[in-house]
Amino acid sequence: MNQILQCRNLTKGFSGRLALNNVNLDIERGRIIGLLGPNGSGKSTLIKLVNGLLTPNAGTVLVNGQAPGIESKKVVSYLPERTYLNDWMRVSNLISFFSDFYSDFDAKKAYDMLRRLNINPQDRLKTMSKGTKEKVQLILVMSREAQLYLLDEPIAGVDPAARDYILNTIITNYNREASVIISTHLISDIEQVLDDVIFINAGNIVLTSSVDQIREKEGKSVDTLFREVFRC
Amino acid sequence: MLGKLLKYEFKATARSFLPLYAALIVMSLINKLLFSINSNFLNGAIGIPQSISAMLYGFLIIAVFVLTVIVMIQRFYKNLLSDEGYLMFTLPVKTPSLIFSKLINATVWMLCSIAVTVVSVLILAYSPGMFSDLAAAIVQFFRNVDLQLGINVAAALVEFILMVLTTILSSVLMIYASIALGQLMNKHRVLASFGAYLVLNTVMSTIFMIGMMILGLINPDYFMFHISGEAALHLIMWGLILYNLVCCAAYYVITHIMLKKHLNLE
Repeated sequence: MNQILQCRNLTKGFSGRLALNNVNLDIERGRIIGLLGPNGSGKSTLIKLVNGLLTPNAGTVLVNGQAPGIESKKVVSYLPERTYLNDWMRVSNLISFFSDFYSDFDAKKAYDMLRRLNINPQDRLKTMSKGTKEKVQLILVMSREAQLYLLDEPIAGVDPAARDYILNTIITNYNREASVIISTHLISDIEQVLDDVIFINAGNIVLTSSVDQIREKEGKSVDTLFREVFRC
Repeated sequence: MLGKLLKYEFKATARSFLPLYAALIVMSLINKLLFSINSNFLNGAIGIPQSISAMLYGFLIIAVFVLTVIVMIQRFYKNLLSDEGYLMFTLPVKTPSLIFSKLINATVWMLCSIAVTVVSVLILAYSPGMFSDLAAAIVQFFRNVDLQLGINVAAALVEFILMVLTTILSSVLMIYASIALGQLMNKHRVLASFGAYLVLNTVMSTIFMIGMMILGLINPDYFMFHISGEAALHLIMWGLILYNLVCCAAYYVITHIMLKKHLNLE
């Protein structure tokens, strides 16, 4: 089976500064991958390129063998690092919105998760706290049967209890053929769910490895390794 | 997918327009009522509520058109190029569908705003028998134009409507193109959009002037002496419609290329 995501010599610069420098990546199906790096290392840029929200200066991105476009957007479920929800809808309106546009969206699943997190589907987004909005957003994203989930900082803004629930949601809510890429710098919180890690720094991939390999070869946790590699 | 996009586009905008339209109609009814009261009533004190309600009516008409323009800009900028763009551009829809959903929505509301304003004026002007008088006057006007100037009124009317419609479309698309160009900048996007608007405006009017000069240079005598008034009218109208369509196409292509190839979300 072909890879879900391939990047070849991917380069993106912003006004003279390289955000991604000649990145090559192959992501297999059925993996949970941590995209780990300090602030401004190019994590979000990489994820935006895969979503077609940015266009590369050089190189290619292929999702499921195709360049970003309608077909790739059908199979990619993306959680941006910011709130992309408008403030005039109710949660239930958003669920119909997602049902209308994504054929793989499971509204029942979304309502179940809302109930578990005590979020009223009739509430307007305007009245919600930032953390609650992030939860709603994550529920919407994880209620799709996508092939690739791109989660940019999914746990940064929520409390530890909700964090556990969310991570649990992530590992139980995707099918075995799909892959999940989680970008974050809160490594210790997500370490236990990861299969693979990608370390990225200043636009360069500095390490790709499975978590087991790190534990066996280096004899340390991903968090410890990260602190060593990115020592300031 | 265009249909679904339009559904949400109208849902998002109707909640601003419909209350304001309702307020305008109610205000014109109130005005009609107040002004039909004999002005000697209450020793002329009726003049105060009359002038207040007339003023409010005027403000509401201005508000309707300001809202139309603001919503047009805001739906494009906020929904596509601010945070909400992260959702809109990851939907599995084509870029043209996104642009057309905004364009159709803005055009429909512009036409509705015009229509509601006309209706409110008709309410104010209403008197028994007004509609039959008005109809008679219009028929008379068309007949006279036809007789005196020899102009086919039906054709002129169609041309006029097409011209208004293409003018609205090209104005909206020009704003979209400016915003799409403005987002290329990493900072000062709104300012850059204003700049782009001024540049586009200058470029297009220069092209228009050059076009007119070329037409004049080719054969000025022909246009002066050899065609009738009616032919000249049709020529001018179709010329303007064609010019508007060329503008629409240019602005659309700019918007499309910017959103498709040079999307630069914050």
